Order: sequence, then C-alpha cells, then structure tokens
Amino acid sequence: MNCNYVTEKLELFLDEEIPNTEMEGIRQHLLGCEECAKKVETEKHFKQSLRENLGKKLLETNLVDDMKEFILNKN
Amino acid sequence: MGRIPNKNAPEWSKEKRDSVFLEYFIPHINSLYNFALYLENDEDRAKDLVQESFLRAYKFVNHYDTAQQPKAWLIKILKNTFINEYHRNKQLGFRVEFEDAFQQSDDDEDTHVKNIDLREEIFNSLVGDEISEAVNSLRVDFRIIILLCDIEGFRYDEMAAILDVPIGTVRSRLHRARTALKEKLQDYAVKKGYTK
Repeated sequence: MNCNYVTEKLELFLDEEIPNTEMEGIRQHLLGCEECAKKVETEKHFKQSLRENLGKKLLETNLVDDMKEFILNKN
Repeated sequence: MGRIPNKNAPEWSKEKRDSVFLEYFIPHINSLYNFALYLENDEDRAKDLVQESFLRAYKFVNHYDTAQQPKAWLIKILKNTFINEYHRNKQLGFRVEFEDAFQQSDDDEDTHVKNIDLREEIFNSLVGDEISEAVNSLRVDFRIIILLCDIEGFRYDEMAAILDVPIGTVRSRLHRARTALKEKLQDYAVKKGYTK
C-alpha cells in the first residue's frame, strides 16, 4: 500500500466505508508514514470542525409545542 | 427508505397516528430544523419547511415502518418538500440562483479525484460563523450531502436511500462537496490573513 493509494482512500477510510482489510492496511501504512498520518489528522480535524460548528443551531423557539399543537390538534 | 408508498397501507386510528408521531418523529425536530436552516438560510422559512414536512409525515404516518430509522425517513420527506417548493418557486420565477442544484449532472459520477491539502492552522483560526458561511455558500446538493454525512452521521448506503441516488453518486458528490468547501475555507483563511 503506497501513499497515493492512501490519499485516494482517505475520505472513505475516515468515513469507515471500506472493507476491514483495507482499513487495517491503511492503519499499518499510517504507522510508518508521517506525511500520510498528518493528512489523516488534518482531515479528522476538518470533519470535527464541521460537526462542532454546524450542529450548533439549536432551536430556541418552542417548535416542539407549536408542532404538537398545529398537527395533533388540527388533524 | 426509498420505497414507493403502499397505497394499500392500512388506515390507522388517530390514537395510533398520534402515538407514532410523538414517539418516533417529534424527538428529531431539532435535527430537522438544523437541517432546514442550512437549506433555507432563513429561520422563518426553515420553520415553515419543518412544519410542512412534519405535516406530511403525519399524513403518511401509516406508511412508516417503525423498523425504519425515523430521522432518515423524516429527512427524506423534508428534502422532497424542499425540492417541491424549490421547483414551485422556480416556476414562479423565484430563487433561480439554484438553477442547476438538483439537476443530476453526469459529472456526479466523475471519478476524477481532486484533493485539497488543507493547512492544519486554518482550523485554529476560522470561527464557527465563517465555517457556517462557507457551507451556506455551497450549492444546495453539496450542502445536503455534507450535512447528512458529517453532521447527521448517515452511512453512504443510508444517504443513497435518502437522496434516491446510487451509492457511487454519494461517494463522488460527497468528495466534490468537501473539496468545494475546503477551497472556500482556504480562500477565507487567505483573505483574513490566517494563512498564505
């Protein structure tokens, strides 16, 4: 397994969308390749930043009660 | 997911409809609203979209199989409601900036892989609003797939079912969406002087 292959599969690896044998092969490669390991860390950080920043828009209004009232009492 | 509603689905009593609605659907309202906000970029329109989607979910609740993941079912309804609304507005001449957003272009299956090497320090500099703004500036199908995968945590096969596209399309669209987002974040970082 070489660096080009790992770069190509990076997203699938982090999304855990490749077979276990390939996951393990990439993990082994990362143990010995500092450059690819750094790319993986940056990609992880990218995904983490999205999760932390995009999931924040929590509902401040009382939409749950409004929805119950609107749907259950009128249908 | 993705099945054509069974026209012969049995009618349910109001008690049963209400019970499924409250137990399976209502707990996901915040996720749906968050999702709607990124589609609409407007709080009032997002609320309307959630309301319309929950109304449809309630109307077709007897087609819902409780073995299905409720959030995926609801998001699919919300996505379809949004698209219907989009097409209706387009016919009326509104919001044409999304002209090509839902066209299934051939390049969705494009296997060409373009990789952007993000610099680690960008994430320490960009604030949440800048990341949200970058996501909001993406075309809508890119926004949807990033939200489904990176925020909601759906697997590729689940996203394929929600979006009614092959899994290969999910894979390539997700890659192109992330690449577009990284390019925008790089541009922000350069403009703000966070990186060269």
